[in-house]
Amino acid sequence: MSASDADKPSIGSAEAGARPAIHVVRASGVDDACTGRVAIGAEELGIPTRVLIGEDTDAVALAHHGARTSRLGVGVGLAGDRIAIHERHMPAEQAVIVCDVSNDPMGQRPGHRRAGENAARLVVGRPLRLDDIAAGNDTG
Amino acid sequence: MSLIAGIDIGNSTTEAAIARVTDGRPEFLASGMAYTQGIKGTLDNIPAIIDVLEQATAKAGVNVADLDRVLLNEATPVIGDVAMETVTETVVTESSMVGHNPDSPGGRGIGVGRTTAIDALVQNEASADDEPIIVVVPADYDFEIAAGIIRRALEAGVPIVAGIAQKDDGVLIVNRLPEALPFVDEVGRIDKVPLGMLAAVEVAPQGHAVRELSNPYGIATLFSLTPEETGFVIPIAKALVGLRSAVVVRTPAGDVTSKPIPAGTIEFVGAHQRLSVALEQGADEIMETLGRVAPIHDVHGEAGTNVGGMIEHVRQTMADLTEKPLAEVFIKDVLAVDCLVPQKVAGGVADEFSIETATGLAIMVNTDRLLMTRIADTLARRIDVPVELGGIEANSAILGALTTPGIDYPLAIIDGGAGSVDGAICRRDKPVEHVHLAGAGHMTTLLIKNELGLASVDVAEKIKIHSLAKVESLFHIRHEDGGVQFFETPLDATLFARIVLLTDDGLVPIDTRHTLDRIRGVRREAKQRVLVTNSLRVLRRIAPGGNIRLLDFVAIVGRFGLDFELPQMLMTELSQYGIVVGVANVRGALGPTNAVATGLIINHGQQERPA
Repeated sequence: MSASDADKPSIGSAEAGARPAIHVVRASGVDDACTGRVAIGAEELGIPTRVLIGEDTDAVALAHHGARTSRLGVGVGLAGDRIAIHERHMPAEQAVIVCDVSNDPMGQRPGHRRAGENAARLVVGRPLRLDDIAAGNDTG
Repeated sequence: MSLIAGIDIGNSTTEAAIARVTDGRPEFLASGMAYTQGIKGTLDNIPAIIDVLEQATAKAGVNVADLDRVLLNEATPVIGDVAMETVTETVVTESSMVGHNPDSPGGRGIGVGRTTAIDALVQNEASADDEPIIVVVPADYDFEIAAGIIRRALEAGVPIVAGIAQKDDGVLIVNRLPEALPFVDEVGRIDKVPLGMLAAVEVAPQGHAVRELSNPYGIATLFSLTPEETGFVIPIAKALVGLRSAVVVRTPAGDVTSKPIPAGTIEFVGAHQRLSVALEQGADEIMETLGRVAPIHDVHGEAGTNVGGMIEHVRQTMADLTEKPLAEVFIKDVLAVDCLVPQKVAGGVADEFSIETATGLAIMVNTDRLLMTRIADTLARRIDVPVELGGIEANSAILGALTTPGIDYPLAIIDGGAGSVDGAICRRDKPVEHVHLAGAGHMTTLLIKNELGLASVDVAEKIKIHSLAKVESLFHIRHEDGGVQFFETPLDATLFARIVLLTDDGLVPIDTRHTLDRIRGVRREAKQRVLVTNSLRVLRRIAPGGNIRLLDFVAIVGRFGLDFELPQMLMTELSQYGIVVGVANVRGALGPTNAVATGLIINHGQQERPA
């Protein structure tokens, strides 16, 4: 799967040498507002993000790609109504968290922000906030 | 030849041993263990007794009905209870303090100004001529909107120096401002923050705690307080120690007081004298007074005070259990332990806690033989096998402990349970002497629960009996001794970065904000102050001349021996006395368990043995 950097024009900045960041990978058709709210969740904990566009249509595969290319080893994938959070060492098909955001209210999108926050928590080593999401040991 | 079962009903477990006794010599066939139901010595114990009997007989390949006799321990004649009362209390009469540890406050530094609602900035009520402002942002303001309003106000010259936000938005707001103002966030009850008042906001750098607002003189400097007023802010400063961010509001009527609660006095009634001691003098003074009065006949608490309530509550509980009139329930021992307890500050805004002094008391009363007789009779009818009481428990425990390889007379044992620590000494050709002292497992659990501010006793109990680890990644944990353990398959996401207990059922997370080191410290300190302290008290009471050095062999039996760290703590403590001390290994195979059940059968055999 190839990915292009949606934030900056320079293609390939996701390679080694780029600034460490959580990679937020969205499928085509996912709104910029959604990735923006994910980024804000991570920002509150002081972790930068980089938005990439993936060609896959599965949130888990997108997240895994993000985790593998991120120097922080954490990726978030958005496709359809699903968000997945992945960590570099996890088996590809098993994301850390998968959640359904079809009911996430437009506007503030707290579910998206929470996903970004949990991705940042994986980086900084704080317990995840899972009270309103199911941890995704199954990949659905 | 006869088939005999020995049963030991303990506070937490009921144990059984089955033996075939020929000419007074027992051949042990099997053992069993179940958790005691109900308080030791009551009829609620019967189901667990039947359960262990069935377990053990099944293992021995016989039936309960085949038994010729069942021997019951003449239970340690003590029942204990514990209580704890705080001695000080912090009350905020008007919301004048917000101190808490949100995960991510924004900015850093200190700002002093008047609390002003963000609404006032929107309506341009504030201007550049105003004195410094601390902006208050309620949850209905999205961080981008709030940041926009504050940024425009700053650009217009409004002197905003700090902020307080209700949502977890501190960093997001500060990141969108031209300068990094200190911003405390996640203040749930922001409506209780008074507006138009002089206030100070402090956010410490990461890894640090607030310095000015946790220092009475720091607060005095920020608010230009008089020496008299500085005296009033000491409880505020105390409550803010160790936090990363804090707000102090100076309200005209606001007051924070740390008031001592009239805790009352305890009166020890001994054979020769009566002495009283005030609870607030602390555990050491209480224990010293007790030592001067010993042996004690009874203990009273001052009527109408906390300690009076505590002691009379225990007496009432024991009266109910033993079905004896209140006047015939005598308290035989007390163990007092001081501790520091986090208490929610009355009148706080963001669930602030203040560390208060508390004293815990373990109290023990003597019961009598009647109760066990009732159990024996009921059990005999239920299983249709003769049941008899098999002599004093301490004697049986000694006989059981003597089956440990490498042990000999004179032998002292420490048998710790939930309610009391029991000790016995057996010297050649002398009767066994025994002693029971208040305060054991339950007291330890209570200390852990209160010092960590845990919601439930169950969690405290789990912390007491399991070692800790920190989940450091999805694939590895770090044990409390520093060792790292890796896992092939990823750990559950709910465990990530959590403090966990290593239980038989796997890793169990603890819901706490305490660090692993803090939990470990509290756990070990509780064991030291209750279990080790009481073990030493027991040994001094049974040792010749009160001198522990004159003991030879000391064996730890019962639950104490099963604890994962207590035997090592006891051995370390006792090593300085130059005596042999270790965990018993009953019948060379059962470890510290089953000593009493085994001893009951040996004792029975010795009596039957032809001379």
